[in-house]
Amino acid sequence: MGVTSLALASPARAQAPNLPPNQEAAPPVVTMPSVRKNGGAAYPKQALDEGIDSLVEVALFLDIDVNGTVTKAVVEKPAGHGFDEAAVAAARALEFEPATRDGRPVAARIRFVYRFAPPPAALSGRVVTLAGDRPVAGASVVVRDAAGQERPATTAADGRWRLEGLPAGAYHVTIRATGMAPREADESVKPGEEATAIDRLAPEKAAEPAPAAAAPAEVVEEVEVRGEKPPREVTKFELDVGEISRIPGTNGDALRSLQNLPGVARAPGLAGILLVRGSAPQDTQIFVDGTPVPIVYHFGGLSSVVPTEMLSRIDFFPGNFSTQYGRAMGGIVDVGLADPKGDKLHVMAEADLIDTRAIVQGPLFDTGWTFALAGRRSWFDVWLGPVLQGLSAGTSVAPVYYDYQAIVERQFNTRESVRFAFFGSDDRVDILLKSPSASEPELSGFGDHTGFWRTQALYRNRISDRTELRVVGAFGEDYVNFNGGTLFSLNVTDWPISSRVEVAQKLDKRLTMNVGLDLLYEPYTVSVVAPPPPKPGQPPPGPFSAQPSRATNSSGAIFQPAMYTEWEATPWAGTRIIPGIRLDYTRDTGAWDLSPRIVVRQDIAHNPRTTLKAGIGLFTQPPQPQETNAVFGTPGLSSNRAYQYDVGVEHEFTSQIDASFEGFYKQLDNLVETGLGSTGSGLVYGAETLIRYKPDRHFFGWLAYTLSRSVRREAPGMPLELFEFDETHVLTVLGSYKLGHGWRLGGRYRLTSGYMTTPQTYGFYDENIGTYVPLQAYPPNGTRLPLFHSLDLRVDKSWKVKWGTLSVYLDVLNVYNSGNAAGTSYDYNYTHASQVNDLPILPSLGLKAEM
Amino acid sequence: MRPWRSIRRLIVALCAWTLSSCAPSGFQDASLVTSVRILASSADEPYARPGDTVNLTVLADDGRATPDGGAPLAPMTVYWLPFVCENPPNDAYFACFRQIAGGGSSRGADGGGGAAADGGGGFAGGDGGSIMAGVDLTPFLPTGSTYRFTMPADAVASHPVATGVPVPYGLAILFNVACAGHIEIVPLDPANANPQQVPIACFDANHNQVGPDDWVFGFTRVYAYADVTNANPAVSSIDIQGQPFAITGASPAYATQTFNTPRCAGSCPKVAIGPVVPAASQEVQSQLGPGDQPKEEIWADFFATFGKFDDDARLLYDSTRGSLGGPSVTDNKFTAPTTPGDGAIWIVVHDNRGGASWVTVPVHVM
Repeated sequence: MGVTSLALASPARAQAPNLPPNQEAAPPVVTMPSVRKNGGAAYPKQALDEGIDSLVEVALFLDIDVNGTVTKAVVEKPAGHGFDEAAVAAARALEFEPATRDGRPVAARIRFVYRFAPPPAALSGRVVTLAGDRPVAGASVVVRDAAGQERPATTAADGRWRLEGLPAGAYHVTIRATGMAPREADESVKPGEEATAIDRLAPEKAAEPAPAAAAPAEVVEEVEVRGEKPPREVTKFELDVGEISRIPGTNGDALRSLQNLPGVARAPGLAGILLVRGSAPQDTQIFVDGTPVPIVYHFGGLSSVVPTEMLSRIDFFPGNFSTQYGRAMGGIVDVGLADPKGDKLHVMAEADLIDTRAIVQGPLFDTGWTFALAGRRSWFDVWLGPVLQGLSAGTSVAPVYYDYQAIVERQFNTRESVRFAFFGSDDRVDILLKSPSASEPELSGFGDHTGFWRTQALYRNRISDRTELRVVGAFGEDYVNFNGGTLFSLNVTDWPISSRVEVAQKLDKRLTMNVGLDLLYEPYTVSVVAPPPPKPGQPPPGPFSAQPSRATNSSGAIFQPAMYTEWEATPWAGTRIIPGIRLDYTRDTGAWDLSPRIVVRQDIAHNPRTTLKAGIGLFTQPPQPQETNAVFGTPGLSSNRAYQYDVGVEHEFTSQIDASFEGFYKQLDNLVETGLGSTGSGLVYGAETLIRYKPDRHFFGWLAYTLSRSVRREAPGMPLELFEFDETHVLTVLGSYKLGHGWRLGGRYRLTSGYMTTPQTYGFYDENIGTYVPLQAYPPNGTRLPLFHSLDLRVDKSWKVKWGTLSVYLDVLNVYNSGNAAGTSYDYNYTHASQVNDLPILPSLGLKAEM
Repeated sequence: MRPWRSIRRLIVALCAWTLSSCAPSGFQDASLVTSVRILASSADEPYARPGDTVNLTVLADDGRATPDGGAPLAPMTVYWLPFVCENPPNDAYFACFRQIAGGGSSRGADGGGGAAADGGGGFAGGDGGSIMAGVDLTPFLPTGSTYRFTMPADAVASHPVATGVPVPYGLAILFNVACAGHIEIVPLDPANANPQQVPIACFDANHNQVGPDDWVFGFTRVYAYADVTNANPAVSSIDIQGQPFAITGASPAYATQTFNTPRCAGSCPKVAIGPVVPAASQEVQSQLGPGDQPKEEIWADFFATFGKFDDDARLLYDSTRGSLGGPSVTDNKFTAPTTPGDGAIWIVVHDNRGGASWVTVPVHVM
């Protein structure tokens, strides 16, 4: 901007100057107004939305008073697109040293020009290996604009690179790394935008060495939350997380997006559990950067224990996973905490009807360290309780949860880094009966307090081009405190200490070996206060606990070390064979479990790519601590076991559309059955498909469908029964469309089989205790509730403001308030039944600010 | 720690059970008697010695209302299955059903009142006999509110020794049916593995099985101990609004006068009502063997032919505190109906060892 002319207001004169006759008046000394304060003017968003990205000048005439204040601003020639309004608003905020005439301030009119330069853009990305998504450090990134000017960058130890201050426009990106085929792509970026890409580098040639950083190799059933892994994945958004944070019905929670993937059944409304391919909830393990954690969702399942913005990746394996994971027969969820941003300080705050959260991250002064601090707390206990009381409900529920993450990280160089993290979660709910039943006066309600925390250290070192080391260790605490008034309480506390050491070693051009140790040591205490079960020789206790509650305490320690190795062989182009073996020891049972596994992938077509994949493996899962405990458990148990067989195909129809189809079969045995021992067995089989439209400028979406059957047998000779969590059909269709002008609209439709139930009918009257005993349908879980169907919608509106981005969203779960059956309640003699419904329509309005 | 996910399922189930009270279910209270009901049964020896004769009494009521202009309802009859199911596997009542389907056993059945009361043969005329479906069993079944049987002499000796049981015992299960019709055998389906298959049912004159409002299939347990005894809890009086209401008789007992109460009109005052059970009724649970012997739990179930109780049951004594505090604490609250009329209230007092007694209170709503 600049001042180009000056017109002064002449001061009024009362009379002509009284000069001697032989003297002439000296010319006045005039000074121009000078800017004292200028807040600048931001490139208007209207212009950006309308596609204007060039330098624009707006000239104004400013009237400046004797105090230097702008009293009037008039545009000389309108430029439109919001520039005029922006210039006038900025001009009004200007402060000047006023013009002077002979040293005295005078009002003035000046011509003042604002030059609007489009905000710079940024390009960033992450370079990883095609196989295993291992970061490629030290890769050369060259960004060339349309004029041929080049800007270089080098990837850091985590594979990330960034170039900022770029003019908007089209760029050609070239990525090169030793031993890998170069990658080129074209990007275009608008003013103020940051375009981010994940580039996967393949080995240089078929005869060339295998990927430099071999890893726990790609497995058949690996599914990344962002969908299948294409050769290149591009996401373009205005400083937000992207598709997974905008899936309708998930309230922007990335980990809840897992529930929309094939192989994942719909969990009961409040359960907050993951049901993977017909497995029990406890058969799926959750990790944070390789450290096991007990839960993935807060109580109620409406929110996960790590906010989306703190995640860098979510790896979900529904089955046949790598030997680096064990002690599980179902699925694996391994999330990675994001490395703190090191460019500058970033702040994000978000609030909706359910919770509020904030994140601060950036460089830690000039120490070379970066940090991130995040926290979230629910607050629907504030409004839910009064709502229930207003409805004269018999209970008031006061759920509260919070989670927290603190990270400090140091990148020593492009190969070596260390990170310390402290994270945790806490859930508390108290169900207070307004009128405790006189049938059990000691049951005044229920209270549940569960939580965990971890302190974790993660060290990564790419020692050489052939050797990579990863070490993670953690200790913490898990706790469950549950009580039923003064009648019953359960308190479980454990202090897990876990560590994992992995070495990836490239032995040959076509052969990479991964070796690891996986240790878990977990002392625990258990305290149970409960009425003892009635002993034989007397009737059932009836409506009251017949004996005083007794406290039973126990303690112990779990020790479960394991070692594993996995070999990735690429004998010829398009073929990958990954055999592996894992050895687990469980001290509680004295069991040694050897688990061999093998995965094969074969590309049968290129451009578009078609890949066949198959896997076979043995997976073992030790009994749970309460099952082997000397006081509460059963002696003589062995590890649960599952043989898994998978076969599938992946196909890319276009660069935007791909699909996968997989069949799976699991044989289960040695399942621990309460009171019986390791006598259970079962079968799970089915097929699943994912058809996906990858994110482009406007739209992303997918269709996921799973058809499956899960059955169990308690003991040899007993009938085969449907598993309580069996869901034959699980269909999810979702999509999100960017309408422009900051608007986005998304929807999700789900159609699933109903839950299993055991109907009860009029039966008998137990005269000793005065209650009816129902006639239970046989076999148990032999009847299915009606189909579940639900539509969720989400609307987002965002604005770019001077300091960052402001977003508002409305996420409505169960838009048409479908009364889906979650269970059945009965009257006193089981002659009348009433459906218990799943979650009703649940809107959530949120506000998010990022800078 | 993985047990969390199992514990979470338990917590979710308990929360769902509790939250189901968030909205009224609309179900009728168990305390309102509007159908054929068995409310309780009582043995003069809830714990009997082997070889003892035990007298059973049942409290049943036909709460059905004749439909306006409809045909008269078939009267309710209480039938007893004249056999003793001795020591069924796992002490499970339904393990006796195959005995019933097969004609029952004559062991210890003496019968009591009614035409077919003479024992010795059971309703099948002997061990191992069987009756065809469709046959009206009325001629073979004792009827009435009382029944007598002899605890088998080997009841304790023949009971399998259970792990953790401090004092050896035996178990006799007796079955009765309150039926507005007659009883027939329902053959068990051999292809149906459901152990709860009901072997008998109540049928009307046209051999159609009646619905839940017209019959109840009940059972009661009488334990056999060599040396452990159990007395039925005693009710000394009824407390109404803090005033004693005299009763006469014992197990069953009756109020000596009618309880008069205004109908619910506009404001509906609640009347405090409950049994007075002397502290001596709370015995020590000596069947638990030497050592830790808490006292009995004693509670009261409430029933009425009209009106509404705040609670279906109230705890009177618990095993740790003893008395919860007397009538002012333990009394239930009764709300009279909106229309005047005559009816009854029953208060059944149980202990947790199978003992029971009850009081009938005539009610006149003004």
